[in-house]
Amino acid sequence: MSFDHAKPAIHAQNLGKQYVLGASPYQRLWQLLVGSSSNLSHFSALSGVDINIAQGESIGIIGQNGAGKSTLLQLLCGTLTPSTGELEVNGQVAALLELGAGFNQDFTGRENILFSAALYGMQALHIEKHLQEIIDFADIGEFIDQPVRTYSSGMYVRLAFAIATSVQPDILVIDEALSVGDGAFARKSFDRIMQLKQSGVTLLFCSHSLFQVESLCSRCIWLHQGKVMAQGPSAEVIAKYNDWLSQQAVAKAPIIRNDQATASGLTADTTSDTLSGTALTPELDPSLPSFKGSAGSVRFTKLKARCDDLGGTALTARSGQSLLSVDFEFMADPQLPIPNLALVVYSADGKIVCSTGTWIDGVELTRGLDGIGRASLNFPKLPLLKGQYSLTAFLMCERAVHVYEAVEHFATVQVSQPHLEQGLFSIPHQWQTI
Amino acid sequence: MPAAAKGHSLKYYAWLALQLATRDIAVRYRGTSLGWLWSLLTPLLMLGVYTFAFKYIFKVRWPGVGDSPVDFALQLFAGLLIFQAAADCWGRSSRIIAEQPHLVKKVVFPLALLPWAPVLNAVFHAGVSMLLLLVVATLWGIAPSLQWVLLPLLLIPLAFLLWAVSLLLATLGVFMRDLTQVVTLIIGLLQFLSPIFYPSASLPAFFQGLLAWNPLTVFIEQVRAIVFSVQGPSLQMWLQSLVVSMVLSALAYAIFRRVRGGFADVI
Repeated sequence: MSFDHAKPAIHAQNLGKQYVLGASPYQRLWQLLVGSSSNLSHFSALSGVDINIAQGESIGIIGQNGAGKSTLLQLLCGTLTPSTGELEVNGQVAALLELGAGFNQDFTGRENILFSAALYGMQALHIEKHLQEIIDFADIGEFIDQPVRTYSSGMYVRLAFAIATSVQPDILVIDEALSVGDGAFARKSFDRIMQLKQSGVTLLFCSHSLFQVESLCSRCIWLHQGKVMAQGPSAEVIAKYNDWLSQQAVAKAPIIRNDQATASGLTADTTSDTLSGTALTPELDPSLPSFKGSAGSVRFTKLKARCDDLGGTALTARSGQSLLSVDFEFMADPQLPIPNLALVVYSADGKIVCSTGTWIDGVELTRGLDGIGRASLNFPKLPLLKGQYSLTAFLMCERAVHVYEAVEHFATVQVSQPHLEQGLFSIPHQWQTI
Repeated sequence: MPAAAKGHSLKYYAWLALQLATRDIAVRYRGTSLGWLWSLLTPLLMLGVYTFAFKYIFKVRWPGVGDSPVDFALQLFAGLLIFQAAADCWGRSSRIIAEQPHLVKKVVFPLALLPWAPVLNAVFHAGVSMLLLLVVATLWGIAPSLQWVLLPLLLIPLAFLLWAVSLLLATLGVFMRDLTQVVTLIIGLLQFLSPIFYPSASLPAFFQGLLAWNPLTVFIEQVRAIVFSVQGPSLQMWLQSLVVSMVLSALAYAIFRRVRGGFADVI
């Protein structure tokens, strides 16, 4: 598709979407036929949105649930029609919103490719040309000739993703996940998205993962209750958003995040050193071979927190004295670049206290020929102050964007202190008497 | 996976409609052991049952034909194949958009194409039935006539008529969940308000006038005219039915366009 490069990819002015509330279907039909909808209550999902997105730009969309993010994306994709304002979209849009929504359950994967690709305006001939490419990418073997209702959810998204990204779109819309599927396919899908981004595709990325938004998108739009709260450079907008989130959190009762450690299946019983991969990330697709040694798989094989050489998932520590250590062991396909490790420390109310990553500190991990790598992280004279903290570990790609595996709240640390210092932690300081 | 597929050609829409229809027909026979053979077998068995019932049990004669070998069963079948096409198609139409919420809300899909699936499905089966009617008629001693080749031409205005009504039903069906029940009733009624079990000529003039308002009447009468009658089909009737079908199609599409924006609000 050729178009004028001076044209923006997306231009919206005073864009809005209202839903009619409370009308029965019969009333609604009558209003539509007669063309009046005056005496009705409206719900405004989106209003007064002005956006200008240049071609090749990467834009993040952030906001809480119900802020209007999905509505905005659907408007851009054309599945919703705007109630007010103008919207101009230049180029072919591919959306990773509802993967496989257009599939017909009774038809085989191959037939669904032919049919779904038709939704992108590809003629039969073009689809034939891409058919093998799509099948190869989806990599679901002989299932391609089985009806899609027999697919596992993993195979379903694989096929849908392959179709959605094989058409070489001009604008790619991603809701929430930068990768789909599990294991090796997650990495492959992530690479495909990065490859599209590098080839100059305009990217719209909507996520709660502010970290990923910030690392991928140069510009960011923050939506709240259907209105644009801020838009501009990602770092600025995300900082504002974080401030605002903290203010909101203060107004509410603090949520104790400790229960999440048990919710994610990591009870005190799993103190055993080897955390089995299946317990952490349940395999969506039972037909896939087990992770051990399989191509493209990257995951934790061991994760252990120690405090003064006492291991466990519920640790106790003394502020300013204890040595907190985390031992990581991972297995990564030697074909893939060496991954990165990160650790995040949360306070009891779910806020990030601090974080660290190998790429931030400039540490290059190593691994053996079997793909196994080890590292340990030490916090000597633990500067955390009294309270309960929890630890989350990440295994990430070489760019530190794609998350291979996240083990949330795998250990809690109960910190006690002998004196009355206030706050979350003690920053290095010096007193001087003058 | 929506895509703003704008400005497609008519050719593309025709291709898509054909895809939908072949899917629709294939789904009907998928998994059955006889497969596509059913499309031939169903009307054949139907014809067999009617022949047996009307020729050997009731021993009824078609009014105005006398004792000719053109049997009640064949006349009945000629009417039924048109009615069956309409009944099959309209009976499903009212739910055809409402049952596909993902096509309404999640992807950009030309929804007006959806009714083409049952329409082309019905037209295809009507075509098979027509072929069967001609074969059986020949076997029963009706001399094949050159005008028989005109029979498939009836399917063109028929397709547009079926689509017009289907699209209207599908559109209204999104808002009116009770429509399916109503349509079932009306189709049952239509079976007797169409000249299936009787020729319209056997009715008093007043009722003939009323019957002419039934859009199926002209098609049924035309099938009979082409297959059984010597005087042959009327070009004027064919053109008339084509124009009426087109006007109805345009009307149905206009209504569809008007209310389409509200689909997502109620589905």
